[in-house]
Amino acid sequence: MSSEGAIFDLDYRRYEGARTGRTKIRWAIVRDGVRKVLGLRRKARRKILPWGLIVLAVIPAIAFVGFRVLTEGLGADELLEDLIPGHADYFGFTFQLTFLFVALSAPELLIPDRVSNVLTVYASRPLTLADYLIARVGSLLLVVMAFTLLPQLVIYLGGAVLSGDIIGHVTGNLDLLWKIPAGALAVFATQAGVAFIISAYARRRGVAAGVYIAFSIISGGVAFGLSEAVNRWFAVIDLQAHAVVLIGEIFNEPGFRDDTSMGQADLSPWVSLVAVVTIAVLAAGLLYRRYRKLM
Amino acid sequence: MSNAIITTAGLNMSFGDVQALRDVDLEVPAGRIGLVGANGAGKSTLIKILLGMLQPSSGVSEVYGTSAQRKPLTVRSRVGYMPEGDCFPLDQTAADFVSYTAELGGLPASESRQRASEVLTLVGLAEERFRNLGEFSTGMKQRAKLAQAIVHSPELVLLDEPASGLDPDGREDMLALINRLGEFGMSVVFSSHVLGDIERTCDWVVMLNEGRLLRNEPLASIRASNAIRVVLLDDPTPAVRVLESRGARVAVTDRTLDVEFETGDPFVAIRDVLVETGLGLRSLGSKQTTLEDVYLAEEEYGL
Amino acid sequence: MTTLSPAFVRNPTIEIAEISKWFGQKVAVSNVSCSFGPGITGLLGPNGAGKTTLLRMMAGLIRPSRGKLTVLDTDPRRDTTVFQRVGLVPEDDAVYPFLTGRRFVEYGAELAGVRNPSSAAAHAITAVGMDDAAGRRIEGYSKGMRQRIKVAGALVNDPEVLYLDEPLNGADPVQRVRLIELFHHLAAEGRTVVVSSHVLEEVEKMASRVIAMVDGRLAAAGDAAAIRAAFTDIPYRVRIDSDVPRTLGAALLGREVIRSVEVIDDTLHVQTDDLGDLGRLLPSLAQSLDVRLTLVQPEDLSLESVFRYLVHGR
Repeated sequence: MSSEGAIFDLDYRRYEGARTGRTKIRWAIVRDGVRKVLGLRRKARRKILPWGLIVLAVIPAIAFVGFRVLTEGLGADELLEDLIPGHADYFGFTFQLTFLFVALSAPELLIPDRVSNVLTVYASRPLTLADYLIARVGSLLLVVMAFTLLPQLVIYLGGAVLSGDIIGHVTGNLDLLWKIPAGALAVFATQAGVAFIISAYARRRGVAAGVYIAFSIISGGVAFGLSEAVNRWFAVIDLQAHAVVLIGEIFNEPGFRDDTSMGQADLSPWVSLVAVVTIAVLAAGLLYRRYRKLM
Repeated sequence: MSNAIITTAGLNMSFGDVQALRDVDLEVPAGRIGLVGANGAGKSTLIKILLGMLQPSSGVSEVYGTSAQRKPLTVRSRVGYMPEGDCFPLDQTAADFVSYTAELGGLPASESRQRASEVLTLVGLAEERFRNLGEFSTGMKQRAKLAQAIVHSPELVLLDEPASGLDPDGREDMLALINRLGEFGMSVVFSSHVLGDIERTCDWVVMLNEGRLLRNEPLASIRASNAIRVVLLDDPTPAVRVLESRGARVAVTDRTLDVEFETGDPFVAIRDVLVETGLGLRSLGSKQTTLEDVYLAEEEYGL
Repeated sequence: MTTLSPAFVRNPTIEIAEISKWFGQKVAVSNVSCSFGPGITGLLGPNGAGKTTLLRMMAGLIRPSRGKLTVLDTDPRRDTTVFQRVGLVPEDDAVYPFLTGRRFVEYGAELAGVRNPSSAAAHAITAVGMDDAAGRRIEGYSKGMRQRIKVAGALVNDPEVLYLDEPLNGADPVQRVRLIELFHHLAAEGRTVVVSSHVLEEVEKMASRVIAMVDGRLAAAGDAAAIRAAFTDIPYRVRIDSDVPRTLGAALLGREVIRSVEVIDDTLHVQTDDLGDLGRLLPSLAQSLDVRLTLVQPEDLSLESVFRYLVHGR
């Protein structure tokens, strides 16, 4: 009986399997973007800000609804009737948080890749520039939508439970099923457009976030002042106001926008819609052109 | 050439008033291909055009029969690229990032993790693969760059100055790795301005000079020459005299003789002359034209 | 007359005596003593061996932790005017992209206090072969051109001492040859040129003398061939191609000067303690056996091989 022995080559294996399509590749970029935004697989301190903001956005809704539901029938119902904020109101609350979130995340998504020249690696892979940019914007959209929608969902469910008639509540409020996502999308479109453009040019994340925040505050003030003093159409410059206007329109609360420059200027909500769509399209175009020149 | 893996026709590339490539017509077979020339303009530009990362001012290029201008994504799914400069995110681990680049190259997520590990081990980064790329030294970065270039199992890898910044040991290791890529069934385009490295690793050479194609042929045919170079241990004069009397043409520099015979076996003739004159030799062999010689001749004669 | 260790030269311009440098716990340079003089000397070492640190001390950029270092009989940290006589070509891109080549060199000349900056600049630019491109902005230069303009910038004050860190980086083959010629010329004029580089085949072409550092210490000094010969426990390897390798191999094994014979792919690789003896016996041995020798090539005389032995010991 002979004994046999063999050595197996531990070297490089060729991959002979199927290649995934462009969709899977785009998803890989989206997942990578989500990780960047949420600080996953990175140092712990990168998680503090994004998750902090998410918690701040979600916890109040859970707290209010939870409290109301738990104290149901304990006798304080009339007192606590208005405890749970309406959908539009809660948008107003999370609005500031998503603003900060976008201000911090857009730079994270675009700047390190550009400054560290990771774009070269992307350029050598079977994907297009459009794939990359859409996936990057898409990651932020996904995360922002998620943490905007989650508390809204909690409020919705809370309302359903508290009304005592879940089916009735659902069928009676079917419009909310499109209104809530539409609202989230409107907020995202106003806030992300300019943030991405700034991040396409800035070389440091802190600077990009700072410039964006400063720009928003200043343009808001300028819009307000000029629309009072010179011409009410100057209110259009206040980008954040458009989001508020659209939320008010979607949830049929015309008074919602009263405090904003757009509300004061009493311009038609259609102006806001046009403004938001214009910003989105402009941002997309500028982003693509800027990166086209780089690659 | 029927089995050409890379072809170009009438390739021109200008950046403003600088012409990086002029009328480059190429056909290159599979194997280890050296790409040499001035740093900056010609070589990197050609590589980027082959990958479809740059559109040429005019002309076409094909890799494995696919036009990089019309179908860049198809080309890139079969090709890997190791860029010259930095290209890593600073806050990700090597394993993480290389696995991601595998996915970007069209590999399923499950395969990607495993292959990333294997490839990083292959390039000698087994222990460091869970450290952040931002902490890597130059040598480690070069290896990691090679890893991401081959992780998605391409058929052809384009290496842009792979040994740049490496110390002599690192350079040796990198050259050895490049040699092995050929054993793995991959073709390699090795772009470098260090001619000695090319001469040691490649079988085919594409030589660019000021954007123009100078040579495109097997290294062996460039090196071949009729002369035999003999380096002697002592004063060569006696040998020179006898060799010339036997009909050889001899060029002398110090103790180095370049000997050419019209007829007969030159090696035996030289051996016999050495015995006759009692001289010892330091080295003997076919004079190999170096790539540097080709550039210098071009400079002088402007062919 | 006492013989000088190859680490020192008879008429030094740079003297390094028991120099050490540490950064916290890390000892970058440990007790190095050597000197540099007119001619080209190569400074070699693996990454992290301390050669960059040594070079920076020689350029006065950092202070030694211990020991004495003088350049042109001056302590470069005490008297920085010595740098009017020193030129430095650093590895990184220490140039201003928005200046034209000519402006950059002239600026350097003005800074160094040269008497006639524009003509000094013109000379330096011609010396490096950048006359045509000097009018263009540096940001449009290729890597090789940047390298050459940096060299021009270092030459503009007619320095007696020149430090070159990877000076041929990016230069194309022809430019490389021209630059090496230039450096030889400068050295022949009596300047002290120190070249630090990882590309050993280039250092070989430039420097006849090398100083090698490993792990912060001086590992070897002198002429490459002499250093190789100093490895007395490592025999020379020689490759021999012939039409009947085994016949020749068997005969060689019978000779005392041969330590070993290996046959790899029909090629002989022999180890010998004495290249000269082998070289003298080969022709007659081959003739007596009717062997046709087609290749005789020492395999480990290059600076690269010497370096490998220094770092790895084998």
